[in-house]
Amino acid sequence: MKQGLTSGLVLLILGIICGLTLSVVNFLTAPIIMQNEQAKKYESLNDLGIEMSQYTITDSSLSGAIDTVYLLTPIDSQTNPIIRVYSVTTTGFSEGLNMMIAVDENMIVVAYVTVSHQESPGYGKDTLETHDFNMVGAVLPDTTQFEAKAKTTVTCDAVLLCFDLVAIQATLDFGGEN
Amino acid sequence: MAELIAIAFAAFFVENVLLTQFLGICSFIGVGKKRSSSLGMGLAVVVVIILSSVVTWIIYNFVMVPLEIEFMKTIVFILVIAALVQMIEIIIKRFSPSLYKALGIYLPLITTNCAVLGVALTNVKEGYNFSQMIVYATAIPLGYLFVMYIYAIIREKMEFSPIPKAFQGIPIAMVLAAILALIFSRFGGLA
Amino acid sequence: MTAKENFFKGFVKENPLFISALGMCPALAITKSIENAIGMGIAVLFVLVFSNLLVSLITMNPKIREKVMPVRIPVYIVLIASLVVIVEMVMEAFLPDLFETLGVFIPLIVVNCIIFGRAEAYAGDHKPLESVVDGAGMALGFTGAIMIISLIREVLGAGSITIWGNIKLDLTFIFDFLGIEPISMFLQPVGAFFTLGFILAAIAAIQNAKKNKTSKEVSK
Repeated sequence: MKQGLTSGLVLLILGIICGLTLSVVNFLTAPIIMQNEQAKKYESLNDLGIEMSQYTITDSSLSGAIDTVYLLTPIDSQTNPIIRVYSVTTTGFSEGLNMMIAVDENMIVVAYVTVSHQESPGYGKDTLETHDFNMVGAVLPDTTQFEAKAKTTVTCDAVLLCFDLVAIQATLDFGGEN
Repeated sequence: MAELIAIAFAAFFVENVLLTQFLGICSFIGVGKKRSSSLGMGLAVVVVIILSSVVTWIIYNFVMVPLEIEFMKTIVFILVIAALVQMIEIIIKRFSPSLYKALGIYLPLITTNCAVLGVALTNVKEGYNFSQMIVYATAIPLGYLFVMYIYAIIREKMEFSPIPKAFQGIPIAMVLAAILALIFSRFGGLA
Repeated sequence: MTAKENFFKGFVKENPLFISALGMCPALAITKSIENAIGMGIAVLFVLVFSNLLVSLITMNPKIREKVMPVRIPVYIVLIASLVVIVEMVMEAFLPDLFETLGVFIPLIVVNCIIFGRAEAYAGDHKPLESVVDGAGMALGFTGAIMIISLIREVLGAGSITIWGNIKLDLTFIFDFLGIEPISMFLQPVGAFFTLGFILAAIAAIQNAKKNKTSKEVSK
């Protein structure tokens, strides 16, 4: 019995020491990790090819397929229109096809990019990485100029659905302002 | 439902735990010499992965997330797994000596099998819900069992083959694993 | 054994990966570029040196040793796991990209047989300084081994040598000269098994040759 008690005590002391050390390290590193994640979040905006230094960025969270809306307000409002960037997630062959779609106040698609996806290599993956869906310049909610790629119907449908969802949300967002 | 099937298929074939994720290689090379031992090890891994995944998932989502100590997950999970393996061993020994005879010697090896901790960590990293987690945690060890069994069959046959002296033992086992991995990598286009 | 021998034994004679075949999971999984191998090596070095140090400090005092010995396995697990979590957090904070590529294999250092094996087989009954030297030697031996595998896989598979971040040597001109593409198979799981298999075979061949030589000398 006494043996068991000492053993338990040893483990308890060790557990407390390790737990304390870890929380100290966590206290030091957690803010940096948060910062990295934040930077990464806005980094994906850079992939859109929009000059981010020209805008002030604010983001708001939504529930549903569109999880975040970034509102890009131009610093020089004379030359640049307001842009809303939508982060939208749909399901292709596997769950979690995440796209960023930028729409300006005239409902024109300015840019779009696939942020992450789980599509299979060789098919959906190649389509997302190399194929041009020809949507830049489209005036939402009209998506007739969308060009799908043969053999990857499911992936292309998921991409098209992204645009349709953004069209609905953008109509609500920009409609309220005009 | 379709999504669960997709998870199961990916976990079994495409992301096969041994041949693409490289988890549990030590046991694969070591125990996969004979069909009987590969079955025993495989079944023990199935039991332990399913149970440990359920327990760690519950602890993570209902204890660690509310307390905001997610960073402790590695240390908590490995302790849970070690304790669980001990408990399973005691229970099987008490209630089913014949099963203990079959699986008993493999149980202590499982604590250090990276597949168990790997699956527990993947469950929380991917943010699976309960049903997704169950499907994933069942398909992964079944894929382990499947590959290990095939592998053991081939290695039993290989015993009688004239293998160059330098390749005997682990090297030829690696080359064989490479060929199996080549076959399994072709499943990638299906999912 | 001198300190020097103690340090270098992990490099060749008792190399944890090539001779003892320990820690094969990370050696196969993360050896797609030398950068990954170096990152993994640093993580293993930190964990192994400190776990050996702490274990030998705990077991040095006979009184504490007596109390710890019956529960030494959970004690070692907790110690190693804590060190791994520290590495995990520091890496996530300061080297996020590398942390992302190494993924689950950083936390899996906990179940790496090398760490536990050294604690049990060496640090438990040696002095702290000796244990640290042993740990550093073993970890560097492991790093060297995974760097050799990565070198082969990266050069053949991607035609480049990535040492760290942007420090990168592009060798695609050799492939251009030969008129072939880099063999991407070497970056896939197949290449991992193949490379390790052939390295182990080469080592076995060398050992066999040595054995033959000595046995011949003896028979003479």
